[in-house]
Amino acid sequence: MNTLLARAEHDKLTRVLGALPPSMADMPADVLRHLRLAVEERNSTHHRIALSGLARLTSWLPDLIVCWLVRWRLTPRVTARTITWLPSERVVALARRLPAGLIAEIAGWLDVRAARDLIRQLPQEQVVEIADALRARGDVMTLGGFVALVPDAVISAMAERIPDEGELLRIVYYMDAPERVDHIIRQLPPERVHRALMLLSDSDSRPLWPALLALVSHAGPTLQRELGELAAQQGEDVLNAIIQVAYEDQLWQDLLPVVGNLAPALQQRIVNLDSLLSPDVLRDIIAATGALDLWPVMLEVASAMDPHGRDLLAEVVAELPREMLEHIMNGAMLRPAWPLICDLLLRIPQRHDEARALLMHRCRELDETTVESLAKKWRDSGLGDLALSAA
Amino acid sequence: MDDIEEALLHLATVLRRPVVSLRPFAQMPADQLQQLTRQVDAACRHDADELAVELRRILPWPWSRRLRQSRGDGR
Repeated sequence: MNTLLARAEHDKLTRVLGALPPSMADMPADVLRHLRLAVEERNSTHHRIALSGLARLTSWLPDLIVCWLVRWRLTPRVTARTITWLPSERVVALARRLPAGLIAEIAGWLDVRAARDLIRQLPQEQVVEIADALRARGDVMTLGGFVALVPDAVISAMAERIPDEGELLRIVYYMDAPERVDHIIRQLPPERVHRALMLLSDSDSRPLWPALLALVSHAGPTLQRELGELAAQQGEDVLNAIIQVAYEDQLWQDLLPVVGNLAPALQQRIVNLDSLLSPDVLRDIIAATGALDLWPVMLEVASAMDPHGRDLLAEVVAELPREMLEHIMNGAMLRPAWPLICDLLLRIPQRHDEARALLMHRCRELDETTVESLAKKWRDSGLGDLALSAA
Repeated sequence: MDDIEEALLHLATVLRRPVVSLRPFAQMPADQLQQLTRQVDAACRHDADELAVELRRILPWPWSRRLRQSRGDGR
């Protein structure tokens, strides 16, 4: 589950429904989004006859008079619900005559489909002005939904007008289409991305760190690798800050897939960071790895740990329940992580028999060559004979 | 029908969605699901009422009278 995406959706739903029941905090983002859209769709059905009548009435009136009504008589909610009954060309013609501030107010009530049509047909300069008005209102959630719909040129123009990286991050955090994050980051000048990452070295910007991690976690593998390298160039403090925020805010399920996509040299730096070498942190990472079933990737990453880190990791592995140990052993089958597994087991002799039994059980499903290779690795690492005859 | 199923059915009725599309909410404790349903219902009713008030201010009299008579879904 993407925790940060779910948190952003939780915030949006809270805005619609008020404080949510506590168990909603564990709901996946898509479930929360489904509920939010269902509530919006339900609301869009209210007073349809009156709204469609109002739309019919306005179709007989000239644009100037309708604009006067929108400015002085209709509320933003009534306007937003009425325009869904009007042809999009008429809505665009009216929008061209309205001030950006008023459209920004209406946008907060607007159905996504109506907003998409409108944004596609409005001149880019006006879309940018509306975005400015939404910013001035501090409505980052509506703006986040808005960003997902606008063309690239508008995004570039908007980014130029937002000098503060923190504000930019908050907007991206609430974006309705996180799959577009990758593309949007590429529209930004590299120095903006660089400056955003620099926020990680400023403890005053701590509230923004989750938004920054959200941005990285929504990026594609190639961009994640580039952003990882950029973060690493800022020094150990930045990397330690990332670990700190992931631990304090329980964001491992967002961060671990990112770590799995980084270059091996950077992975090696990360697994040996001081902030990572704590039993509590390692326990959380193991729990998140289990939840995401990321064992093959994470074992490969952990293979770069130095002896002190391995001691701590072995300490945590020693406490794990049998089924978790089984998952780790199975994960090691898929990647060349056996040297790490054997090394960890050497540090926890109390779990040798259990690990051997698990491995022998698994060996029944493997071909002879693989079994022999595993037995050799087991023996060579000093763990003794795997007693293959029993398998 | 147990409490969860009942609350889920109520939520589906409020949202006018099939129960199956709301199945992930069945993992919530029954009291919290009931609370959520009440919140959704209250939010939707509030929206309908506010919209009615806003519409009454501007609609011609016969429509305004019909609005006053309509409830909730405001057809």
